[in-house]
Amino acid sequence: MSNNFEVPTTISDAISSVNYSPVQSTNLLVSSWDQTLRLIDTHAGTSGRELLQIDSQAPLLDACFAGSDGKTAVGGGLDQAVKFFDLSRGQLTSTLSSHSSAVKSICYNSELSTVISGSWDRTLHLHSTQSQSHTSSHTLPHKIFSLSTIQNKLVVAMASRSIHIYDLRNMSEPFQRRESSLKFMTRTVRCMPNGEGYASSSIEGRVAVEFFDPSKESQSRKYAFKCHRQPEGDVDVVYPVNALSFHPQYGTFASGGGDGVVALWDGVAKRRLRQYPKYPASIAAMGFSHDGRYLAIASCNGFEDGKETVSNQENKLFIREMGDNEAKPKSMG
Amino acid sequence: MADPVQLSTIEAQKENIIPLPGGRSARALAQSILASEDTETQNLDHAAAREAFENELKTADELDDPLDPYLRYVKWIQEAYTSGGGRILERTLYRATHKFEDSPEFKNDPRYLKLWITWVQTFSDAPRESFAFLARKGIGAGLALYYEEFAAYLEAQGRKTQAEEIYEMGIERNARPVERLRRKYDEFVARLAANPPDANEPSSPAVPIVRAALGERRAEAEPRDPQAGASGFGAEGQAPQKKKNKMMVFSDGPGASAPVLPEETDRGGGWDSITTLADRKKENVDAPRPWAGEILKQEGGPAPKKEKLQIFRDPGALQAQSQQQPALTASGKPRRPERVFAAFELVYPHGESQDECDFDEIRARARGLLNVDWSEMRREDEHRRQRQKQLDRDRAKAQQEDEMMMDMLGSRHAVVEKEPEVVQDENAKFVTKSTVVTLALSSSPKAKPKKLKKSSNMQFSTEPTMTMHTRAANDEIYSIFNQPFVAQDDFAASGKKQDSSDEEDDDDEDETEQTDTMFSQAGHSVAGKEEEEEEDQPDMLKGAFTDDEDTGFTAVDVDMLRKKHAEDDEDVPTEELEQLQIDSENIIPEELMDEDPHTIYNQRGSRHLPFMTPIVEQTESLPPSTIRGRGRRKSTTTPSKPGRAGGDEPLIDFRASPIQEVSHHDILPDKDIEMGGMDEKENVPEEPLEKQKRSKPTDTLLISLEDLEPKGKAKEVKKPTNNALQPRKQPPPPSSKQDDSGSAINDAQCNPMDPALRDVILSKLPQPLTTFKGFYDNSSQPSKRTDGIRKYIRAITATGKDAPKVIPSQPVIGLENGEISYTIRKEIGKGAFAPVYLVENNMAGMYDTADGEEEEDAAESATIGTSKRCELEAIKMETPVSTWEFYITRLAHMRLGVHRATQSLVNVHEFHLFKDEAFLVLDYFAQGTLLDLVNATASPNNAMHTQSGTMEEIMVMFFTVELLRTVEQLHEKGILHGDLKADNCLLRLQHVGGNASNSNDAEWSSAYDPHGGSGWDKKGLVLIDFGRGVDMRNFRKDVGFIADWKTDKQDCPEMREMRPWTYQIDYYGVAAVVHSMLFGKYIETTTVTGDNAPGRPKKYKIVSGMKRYWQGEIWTEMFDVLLNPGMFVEGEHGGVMPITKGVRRIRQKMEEWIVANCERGVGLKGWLRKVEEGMKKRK
Repeated sequence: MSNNFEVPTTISDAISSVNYSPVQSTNLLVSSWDQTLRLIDTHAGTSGRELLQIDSQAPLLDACFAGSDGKTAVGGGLDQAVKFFDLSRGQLTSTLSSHSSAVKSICYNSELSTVISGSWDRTLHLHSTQSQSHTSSHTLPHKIFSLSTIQNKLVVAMASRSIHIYDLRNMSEPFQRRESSLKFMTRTVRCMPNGEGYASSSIEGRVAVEFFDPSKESQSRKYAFKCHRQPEGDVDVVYPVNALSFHPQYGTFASGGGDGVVALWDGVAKRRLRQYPKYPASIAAMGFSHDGRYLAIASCNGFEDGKETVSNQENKLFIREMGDNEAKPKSMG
Repeated sequence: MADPVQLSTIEAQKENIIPLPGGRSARALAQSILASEDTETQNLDHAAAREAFENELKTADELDDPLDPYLRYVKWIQEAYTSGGGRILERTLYRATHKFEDSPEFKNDPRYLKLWITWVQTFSDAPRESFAFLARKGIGAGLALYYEEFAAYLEAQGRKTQAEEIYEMGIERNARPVERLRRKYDEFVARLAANPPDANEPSSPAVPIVRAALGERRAEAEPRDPQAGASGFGAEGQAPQKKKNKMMVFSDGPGASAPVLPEETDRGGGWDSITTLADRKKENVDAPRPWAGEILKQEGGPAPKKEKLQIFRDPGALQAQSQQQPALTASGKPRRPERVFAAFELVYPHGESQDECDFDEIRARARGLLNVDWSEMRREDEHRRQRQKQLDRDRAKAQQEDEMMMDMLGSRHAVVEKEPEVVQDENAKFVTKSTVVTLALSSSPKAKPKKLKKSSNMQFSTEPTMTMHTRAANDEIYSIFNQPFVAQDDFAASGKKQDSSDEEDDDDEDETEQTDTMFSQAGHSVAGKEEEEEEDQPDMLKGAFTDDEDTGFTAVDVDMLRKKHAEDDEDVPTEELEQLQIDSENIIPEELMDEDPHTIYNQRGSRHLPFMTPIVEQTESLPPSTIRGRGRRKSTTTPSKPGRAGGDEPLIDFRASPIQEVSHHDILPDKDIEMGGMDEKENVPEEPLEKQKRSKPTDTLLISLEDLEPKGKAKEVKKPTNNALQPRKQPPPPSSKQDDSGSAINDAQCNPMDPALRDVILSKLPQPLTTFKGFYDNSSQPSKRTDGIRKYIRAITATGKDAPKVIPSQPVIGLENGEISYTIRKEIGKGAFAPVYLVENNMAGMYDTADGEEEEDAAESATIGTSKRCELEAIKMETPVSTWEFYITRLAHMRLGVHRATQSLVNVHEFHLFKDEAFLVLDYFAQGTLLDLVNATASPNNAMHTQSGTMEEIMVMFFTVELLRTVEQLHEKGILHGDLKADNCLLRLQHVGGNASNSNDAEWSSAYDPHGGSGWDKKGLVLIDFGRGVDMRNFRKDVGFIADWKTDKQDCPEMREMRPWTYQIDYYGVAAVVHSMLFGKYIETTTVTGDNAPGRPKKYKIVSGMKRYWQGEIWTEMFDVLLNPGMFVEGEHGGVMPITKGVRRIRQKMEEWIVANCERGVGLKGWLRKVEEGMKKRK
């Protein structure tokens, strides 16, 4: 079975994203509300240590590695800027562009070496990592909540349950415009590693799995399921599903909810593989390492109820080491 | 009469004979019974007879009396079928009755009515309805029989009221024979009298009133809500109009005879026909169908899916509900209701139609970060980055200069001692000199200045470079320099030597100012970027110079500073000196040998000014109030000194001969004033002396002396009695004139926190409080800001259902007509009377604009207490108002001057006094208090948690040293904090090195330097909350204080035992703080047993025991001294408290130990860094 341990950190506020390096499977990029971007070696010593800490001006809402060497990163947050960090030198190198509202989500497409940032100002900005410059902007109908990209596809989850799928090679028009299969606000969208589709989660304890292929046959494969809920008397309390992460090899995925539970799903067999014991607080972000051996889990007091939890703040980072077959779908034996 | 009927035959079959109302013929009975024995023949007979009747019926319409054949047929059936005609009779009766129901000629035919009644009684499944039907059709309406039968039926059903109604109706209608009807009615009445009707009987009319038309009815039922419909149920038991989903309209199968709809248009009479039950129920009977393809429903199978009945919800109520609690939301298949754990009202603030808000957005909004104008900050950032680049360049340059200087210092250091008295001149000369240099700079290309400077540095100073940096940059450079700038004196001297011909008139500030401007211009051209500054610069400068108070203070400060040098830390350990010398490469002039090294470290040349004056610019870490401004002020005023008031002489003397510890006892009052302004503050603590007024304070003091002295003496009479109470040996009242001279209060015993007493003290200030810089007197008007702030705080801290839907916008406190404004962020300290809020200084940008030079200027233009302004500051809101804390904090700052301990006093930037409340603007330290640290250490979830749950000993000792040093200094300057506890000690772990964003701390040595070197001066504590502060110089030397508040274990024993106290309060406070750090719990003391013989003073010790591996000796000694300060007065000055020397001894022991042990294991630096990280940006 898997091994779960906590990485002691100095993170003093909610974590907004965790991303493993595309190269080293122990280097984790963590952005958080305490205005810092950290690079943590999750397996240094007994329980990991912080390699790097770069202060930002404002709380960071998202960050990711920009480039396939794991030496550069981009981040964005409330200060509306898309920032480019040089991790080898441990500093901010440049500001790629500025939105007119907070940068909510940021992602990097390795095939096109493009950094895409989405903001509450309803715009997408595309940047080239080679020239470290802002290449284009695109206005969308709603606030952008989550971005995910795979191959040449970009999935943009927006407010009002709107989802646009772009072909990054042709950004003039969305490739597809869709409405979320879920009833309420979309929290996260993540593309399948095989590029066939994506999973999206909402605040009402549901995850939808959909496919890019517009053919009827493919579309009929889409489904949604319920998760992250706890019975309370006659009522099911359903929690927001804040985080999704696909296993890079097996295509199974993990979901993390406001209830502090992490579950592992086999999207093909439509089965739950595992559900892990509850974490101390809401799961804010998750990420598999590039080799799928580790799952980083950020557990922080969420803001689902609109309240700042003053006492007993939990801002913790856990690493779950995946057993050999732990995330393997049953169908693969 | 032929053969009589054999009764026996009848007898044998009598159970099978249905009685007829009119009786049966025995013969016919016997015949039919006999015939029935031969069933076959009988059947044949019957069939034949029936066929005959049927045939007759077919032509009945042609008869005069078409009813007759029916009557006969019925009669025959009744006779022929003794056991009842069954279906045959029913069908016949049905045909007979229904055939003529609309024929008026039979309506009152008793025969026809009898047929009906027979049918009703025998076959009708709802006789009452049938009777009602007859009534509606008017059949038998004129016949008494109908009424009798109907009433009898009703009576039998227990509906006596209705029966009576029927009788009455019949009588009214004169139904014949009315006589018989009357008789029957009378009989009925008689029965009724004997057996009165039940109250529960239905009271509806026997014959229901028929609605006019169903169509209208439907119209009435227009509001389709089912509940309203329920009240309109038809009297006929008509089912309410349920909204059924697609109910198929029943239609008869093709084979069935379609019911003939009567053609009459008048359908007001209700039903057109009344038929058999089966007929009426035919819709409910499934028509026979082939089995093929039919599915047999299994019992116990899943219940068929039905659409759920929608529960009616008031949209308004729903909305209200959703505001109160997380919304109940039914999802697609509500097997179980779901409640989404999310604040829907926040997610959908504009309703569902509009864009929802992400949780992050909600969080950002709640924290007030959403609508921040980041672009502004970004620009600044950009700026900073550019400057950073420049800084890198400059750093290299500075380094070179540094090296240069080192060389020079080495060679020149001897000069100073010889010519200290010419400082003034030097000053002026240097001004000129540097001007020349910078001018040269400004004309040279960017790259060149370096070289040029280098060469000029050979002769002059590094000063000009400073002008083009931000303060951060400056500090950066300073830290690189990181060596005593004392050397500048040497420079001054040496410079003078070299350029003695260049003497200039040193008279005024103008000169200096001019220099400034030139400097800055030079800076511009070099920087080449910061054009805007040029516009601002003059203003800033003007501000700096025109302020009277400013300059006023200056004089004092200068003196104070000077004096400090001599005064501070008389017994600096030798090693300290050694170290210093190493640091400065043996260039420390002898004169300065005895100074607090810290002072030396912090001396930096102000860019504006010739550096000769030893005490000048300060690095960031010092509570800037004093220092920053001071350098500036000093620079402006120093040159002018000689011309005024003749105060120069002693000053120079002073400098020339490093007088050690010129304590107040030894100095004559007037000298005192001129010398330092330090001691004179006993009486005029805040006095913003202007140099022009130099002599004035002396007068004031003298007057006050005269005033006070007799009083003091008068009071002294009382003293012996009070002293009697004190077990502690009271020192003899000092006879020195000066001792009493300063005291505003001459009571031998009093409560120093008594507001009235404080008022007296404040009223005696030579300079009214209102003239203090940063004091804003609006005491005439109410402020009324409290409510708004409290409301906001409540709103953001509320949890559970109290939490308001909308977080109110952050209150902004605008003061002085909006010139100053603060945005409340959150509450950081609770208190019934004085909550403390974290605020954003909206004017921070004003002090600290994007341009570095202005920043510096701004800082310099500020006076005491309003030096370095930060974006985040703290506001203490006091209700009821008290000016004391402001006063005493400022006083403490002034008294301590540039001593290192000043860093450990909180800065008061502004004080806004209103009628109803007061705002005290303080520095904000984000790292929390010692108490927080203690708690964090004890909390197992915290990163700082240690195995023991208490802080590391070395860290405790480090903080103890900090605390002791501060208290020591405060006491030496006659100030009591009065409320020392762990929550009044803020952590001050500042960045070492100029670049705050990158805390690699390279310049922070892991080797502890007790004198604050290697970055150690940036780490320490800050004491806050001087609300209980006491200025001992307001009191007689032998005063004893009495507390009038309820005491507890955290108060010193003297207080608890109602004995008078003075400095004990702080010593005990320190002991309590240290105790809580060491043991993680509050201090508890006990008397040492066996040692409390009567007459002997009690001795106290702590209850908790030390850990074995601790430095028990040091700690025990410390507690010993702090808890029993009265026993350690020996050897102190005058043999009385404060026991500064004793405390210092302990502190030095601790410092030694820390030095020896600071690099063991994690090391002190490691621990502090851990704390720094752990407490960083703590929420």
